[in-house]
Amino acid sequence: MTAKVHGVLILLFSALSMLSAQPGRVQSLKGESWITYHLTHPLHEVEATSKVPLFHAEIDPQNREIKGADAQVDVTSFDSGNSNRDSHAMEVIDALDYPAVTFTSTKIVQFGDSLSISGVLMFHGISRNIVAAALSKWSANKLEVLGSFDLSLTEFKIQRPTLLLIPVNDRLRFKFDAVFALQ
Amino acid sequence: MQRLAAARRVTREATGGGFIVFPHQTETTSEHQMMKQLVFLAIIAALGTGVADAQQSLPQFDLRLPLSDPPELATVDSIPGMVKPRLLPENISFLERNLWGEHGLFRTTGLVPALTREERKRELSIRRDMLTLHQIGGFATLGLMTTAAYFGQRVIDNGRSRSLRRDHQAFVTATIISYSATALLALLSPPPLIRRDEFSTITVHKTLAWIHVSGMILTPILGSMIGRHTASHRAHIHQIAGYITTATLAAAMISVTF
Repeated sequence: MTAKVHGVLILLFSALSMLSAQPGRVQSLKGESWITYHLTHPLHEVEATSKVPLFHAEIDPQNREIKGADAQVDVTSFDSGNSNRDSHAMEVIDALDYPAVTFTSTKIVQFGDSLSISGVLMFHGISRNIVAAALSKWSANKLEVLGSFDLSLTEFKIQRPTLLLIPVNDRLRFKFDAVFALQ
Repeated sequence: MQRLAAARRVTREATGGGFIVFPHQTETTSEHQMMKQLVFLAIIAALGTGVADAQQSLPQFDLRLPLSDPPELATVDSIPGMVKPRLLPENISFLERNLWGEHGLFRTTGLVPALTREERKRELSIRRDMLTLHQIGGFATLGLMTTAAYFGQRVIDNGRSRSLRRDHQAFVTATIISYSATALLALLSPPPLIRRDEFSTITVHKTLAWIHVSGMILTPILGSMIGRHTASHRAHIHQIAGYITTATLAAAMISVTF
C-alpha cells in the first residue's frame, strides 16, 4: 500500500511539474539581460550598453518555442562610458519627447535554435518593421535569447551627429541578450 | 472524536472545501481513504494550476500584433510602464544647480521660465549652441594665444622693439577676452541630460582646464612684473608659463576629439 501512496505522489508531482511548464509570458531577468548599440564614425567606434532593458516573451517550454516577444528600453540608460557623448545622443534622438525604444514582435520563425523575429520597432516616435536574427539557448531553468538587428538613423528621422564635420555612419547595429527564468 | 470531527468540518468550511490532513487522522482513516484523498488533492491542485495558467495565458496572444498598419498599433499609449525621463541629471554640479536647477538663480529671477519638459528642450538647444560656440571660441583663443606667445618670444629676442611689445600686448588682451568668453560659455551653459560619475575624455578636458586657467591668471601677472627687463629671471618664468598654458589649452582641445 505504501508503494501505491508513493506512486500517487510521484504522479501528483509529475502532473504539477508538467502543468508548470505550460506556455506563458515571462519577463527578462534584471542584471542578466542587456542591449547594446554600435555606432561607427570614420575616426571612432562607439558602443553603448543598457543593462536595464525589459523583455517579455511568450514561451512554450515543452516544445521549446518562442511564440511572441516585446521589449522596452529607456534610452537614457545607454552608457558609452562618456556621459557627455550620451547626453548629446539624447539631444539628437529627442529623449525628452521619446524616452523609450520599444519593440513588439509580429512573427517569429524558428529553425531549431535559430530565430527570425519580425516586428515593429518604435524609435524617435517613428515605427518601422524590422527583422532581428537571434539564437535561443534553453536550459533547465533559463532561456537566453541572443540576437542583433540593424536600423538606419535617417529612416527614423534622426539627424546624424558629426565629429569634425564628418557625420557618423547611418547604420546603427543593436545586439541584445535577453535572459528569462523558466519556472 | 466528536470534537475532532467538528473541528475538521469547521476547517473545511473555513477553507472553502479545502482538504486538511491532521497528523492523528491516520489513526482513524484507512489507507484506501488516504489514496482517495491524495487523488482528490491532485485533481484540485491540477485544476487550480490550470485555471491560473489559463488566466495568465489569456492576454498573451493580444501582444502579437497583426501585420497591418504597424505605426498605429505601436503607439506610445500602448506601452505599459512608459519611461519618464529626468529633466536634470542626477549628478548635477554645484554651479549648474544654483543657476539652472528647479530653484536656481536664473529661474528665481525670472531670467528663464520654470522647469518643464518644453523649457528643458529649449535649454538643451541653448546648451548645444553654447557648447558649439565654446568649441569655436577654443580654436580662436588658441590662435590668439599662439600669436601672443610668438610676439612674446620676439620681444624677449629683441627687447627694444616697441611695436613688438604693442603687438604682444594687443594679442594678450584679445586672448584674455576670448578665453574668458569661451570659459563662460561652458560654465554658464545649462546642464546636460546625463552626467555620470566616471572617467572620460571630458574628465581629462576639465582637469587640463584647471591647469590652463591657472596659467591664464599667472602668466599676465608675471608679464606685468617684467617691465623692460626682458632678459630677467621673471621674463624667463613668464615665457615658460605662457608656453605651458598654450600647450595645455591645445591638449584640452585635442582630448575631447577622442
